[in-house]
Amino acid sequence: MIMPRPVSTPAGGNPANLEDDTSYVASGNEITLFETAWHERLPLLLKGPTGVGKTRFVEHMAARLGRPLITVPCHEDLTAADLVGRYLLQGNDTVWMDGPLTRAVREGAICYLDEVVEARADTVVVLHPLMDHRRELHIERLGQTLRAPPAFMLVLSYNPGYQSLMKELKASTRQRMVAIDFDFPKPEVERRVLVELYHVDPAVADRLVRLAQAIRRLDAESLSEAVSPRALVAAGRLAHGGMALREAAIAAIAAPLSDDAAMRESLVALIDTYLA
Amino acid sequence: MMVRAVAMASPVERWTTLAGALAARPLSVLAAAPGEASWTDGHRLWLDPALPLAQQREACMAQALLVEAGSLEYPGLRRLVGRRAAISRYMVLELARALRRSAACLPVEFEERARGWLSGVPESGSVEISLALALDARTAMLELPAHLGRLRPARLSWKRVAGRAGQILRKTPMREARLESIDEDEDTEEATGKLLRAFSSPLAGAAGSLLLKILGLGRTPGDTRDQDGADGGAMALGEETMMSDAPGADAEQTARRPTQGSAKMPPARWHYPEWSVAAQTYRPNWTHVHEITPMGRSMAERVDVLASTSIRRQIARIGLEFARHRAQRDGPDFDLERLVRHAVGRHAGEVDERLYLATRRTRRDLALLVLLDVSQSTGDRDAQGRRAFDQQREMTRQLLKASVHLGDRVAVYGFHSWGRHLVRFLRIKHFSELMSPAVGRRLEALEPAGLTRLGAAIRHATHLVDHDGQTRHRMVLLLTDGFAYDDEYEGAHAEADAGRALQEATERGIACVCLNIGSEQDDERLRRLYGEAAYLRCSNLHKSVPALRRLMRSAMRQADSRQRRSPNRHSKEAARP
Repeated sequence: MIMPRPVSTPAGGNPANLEDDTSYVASGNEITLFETAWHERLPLLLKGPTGVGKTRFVEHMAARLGRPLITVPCHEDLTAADLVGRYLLQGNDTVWMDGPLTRAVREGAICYLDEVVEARADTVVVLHPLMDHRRELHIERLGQTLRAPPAFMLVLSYNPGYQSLMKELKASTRQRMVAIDFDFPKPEVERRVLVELYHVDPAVADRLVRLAQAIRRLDAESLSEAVSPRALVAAGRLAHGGMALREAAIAAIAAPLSDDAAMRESLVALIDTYLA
Repeated sequence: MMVRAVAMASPVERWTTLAGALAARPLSVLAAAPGEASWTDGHRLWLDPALPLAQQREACMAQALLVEAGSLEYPGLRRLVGRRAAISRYMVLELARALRRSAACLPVEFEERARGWLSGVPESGSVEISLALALDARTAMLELPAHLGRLRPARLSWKRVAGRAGQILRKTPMREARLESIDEDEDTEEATGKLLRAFSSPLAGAAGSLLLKILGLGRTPGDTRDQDGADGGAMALGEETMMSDAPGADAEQTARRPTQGSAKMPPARWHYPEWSVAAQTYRPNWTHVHEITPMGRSMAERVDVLASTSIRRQIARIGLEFARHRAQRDGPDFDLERLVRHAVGRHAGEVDERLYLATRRTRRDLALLVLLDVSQSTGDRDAQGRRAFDQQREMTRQLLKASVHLGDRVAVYGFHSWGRHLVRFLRIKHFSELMSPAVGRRLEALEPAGLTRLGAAIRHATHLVDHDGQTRHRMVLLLTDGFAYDDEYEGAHAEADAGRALQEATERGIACVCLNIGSEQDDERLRRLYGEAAYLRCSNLHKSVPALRRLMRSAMRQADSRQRRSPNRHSKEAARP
C-alpha cells in the first residue's frame, strides 16, 4: 500500500533548471480564467489530449498565485483512502495520516488530480462535496468535516479522446466544474514555446511546427494519435543537444507514432520533406 | 498453416502520408503510366513514377493542396471541359489560393519555390472567382511547371455523372460499353462527342433523353464568353446540381476496368490466398483486397425500429474479462490494504470481514468487427418489397450503438467484389475511430452492388480484427444474405473456400458469427459452413435479437478452445491476476 507522493512546487521557479521553470506561453484566455475561477472559489476541469501543456499550465498558475501545488496522478487502483488519508500502525498506536487531498484542504493549496478519468467512479465521488458551494471534505474515519479555506482550489484534468466510454467522467462530476478546453496550440504559440521555453533555434522551431501542423491534418485513420507538442519539444531538445534534426525528428515523432513499417517509411518521407 | 496478408508497397506509396497530410483527407497514391502527367480525382492520386523524386514530391504536394482547397469538387468545373488554356489558368489560380490557405503547414523550401512559380498571379478568394477568371480569355498568366501534373475536369465531372448514369443504364450493355470507352479517353472533345452519340441513338428512348437533360447536353443558346476555341454548340452545359455520387454505381464503373486489361488497376494493399477444393491446395496471392472510405449521405429522420437496450443486454455479457475485486468476503488472496485496516480497526473495536481479493469476469475486453455484405443480391426485394440489405443495415446500426455504449472496440466494414482482383472493403468505421455522425452518414449512403467473394472477405476481416482489435476476445460478425457468388467463385469451390477461411479465423482465436436476416437464399450452405452454433437465419430483425447472445457465446467458446490447442499462435494472453 503506497501513498501517492505529492509533488509540491513552490511559488516562483528557478529558471536555470528546465524542470523547475514554471513559465508558460498562453494560447487564449486560460490564465485569466484560472485566476478568476480561483478568486471565485470554483473548481476547474482541464480537458484536452495528452502533451498539450495542461500540467505545465497548472504549475505556472500555482506559482503565479503564490500557492503550493499538490499533484495526484490518478489510476485505477486509487482509492478514496489514498486521497483522504488513513490510519497507520506505529508500534502499538494507531496514527492518522492525511492524504494529499486533505493536506491541500488544510493548507489552502491547489490540488491537481491528473487524468482523473483513470480513477474509479466511487473514488471520484469523494470530491463532490468539495466541488459545490459547500466546499467540504468529509473524513468519516475521523468523524470530521473540514471546511476548505478560500485559497483552496480543486483542478482536474482529463483526456476526452480516450476511446472507451466506460471510462468517462460522470455527468454529475463534470457539471460541477468550469472547464477549459486545451487543444493543440496554434502555430505561433507552439513556435514561441519551443523558442522561449526550450531554447530551440527559431529556424528549427519553424520547421518543426510546420511538420507538426502537416501531420495533424492527417485523417484519424492514418494515425491513431496526433503529434503532441511534447513530441515536438523532445525533437527540439534532441536537436539542441547536438543530434541531426532529421534523426531527432524520427526518434521523437515518427517512431513513437506508428509501428506499421509502411507508415513509418511514409512518415520518414514526410520528415525528409520538411526538415532536410 | 501460415496464412498472412501481404501489404504491397510500390515506390510512389511513400508519398501517401505527405499527400494525406496536405490534402487533409486520406489519399491513395498510385503510379501513373511512366511519362503520363500526374493528376488526382480527390480520393486517389496518380503520380508519374518516371519523375525524379524531388519532382514527384512537388507534384504530390501541389495536387494534394488542390484537393484540400476544394478545387476539384466544384460542379462548375464542367465548364472547363475541352478548354486547355482555361484549365491551365484555373490550376494556377487555385494553387495560389490553396497555398495561401495552407501556408502554416508547408515545408519551407516548397513554399519558397511555389512563390516563385506563382508571382504576379491575381488573388482569388474562392473557387467561383477562380473559375470566372480562368474562363476569361483576357486573363494572361504563366503556366505552372509541367511536372506538377494537371487537372482533368472531364474525368472529374464524368465521375459525378457516372453514378446516376450507371443506375439508369444498367440494363443496356451496349450503352454501358460506350460509356466505358468514354471514361478511358484522353481527348475530352472526342469524349463529349461520343457521349452525345451514345445517348442520341434511336435506341436511347426516354431514358436517353432524360439523361441528356440531366447532363445539360444538347443544344442551348450559346455562351457569350465562349471565345477560347472550344466547340461552339455542344458544350454549353447548364448549371444544374448533380446527384451525389452513388458509391454503388461508381464501383461498377471502376470494377469493369480489370476486364480491359489489368494494367489500369491500382495495386491492391492486401493479397490473400484462395483455397481450391479441386486441387486441394492454396492459390497464393489470388485475391486482391482494397479498402476505401465511402462518402456519406445525410440521414433522413428515422425512428429506431428496435430498442437498442435489448441488443445491449445481449452482448453485455459477452467478451468479459477478469478484473480484480477488492474487499470481498471470500477469495483466494488477502487484500493487503484491508488486512492492515482490519488490524488497526481491531484496536478501535471495529470488525470488517471483507478481507479478500477475488477475480471475476467483469471487465470488458471485446473487439467486434461487423462485416456487412453490400453485394447486389442483398438489394433484391421480396414479395413485400423489402430488401434484406435494409434489415442488415439496421442491425449494423444497432450493434454499433450497443457496442459503443458498452465500451467495446467496434469496427464496421462493408464488402463486395467484382472478380478476384477487386474485393472491396468499405471502411464505415475502423477500430480506433471515435463514433461520430460521419460514421452514420457513411452507413446511410451504402447501396448494394457487386458480388460476394466470401472467402477473401472473411480473410481480410480476420486480418483487421487480429491486427487492430488489441483485445483478448475478438469477433467477426457477418451480416449476409448468404449468396456467396463471384467470378469463378461458386458452388462447391466457393463453399469450400469460405469454410476454409472460417477455419483459419477460428484457429487464430477469432470467433465468427453469421446472421442472415430477411433472406431465403442459400441458407443451407451457410448453415453448413458456420455450424448450427454460430449461424442464425431470421426473417426479421426482432426475432434475431434474443438468439444473439447464444450465438456469440458459442462462437467464442469455439475460438477459445481452438486457440488454446494451437501452440504456434502468437496470442496476447489475458493478464490473469
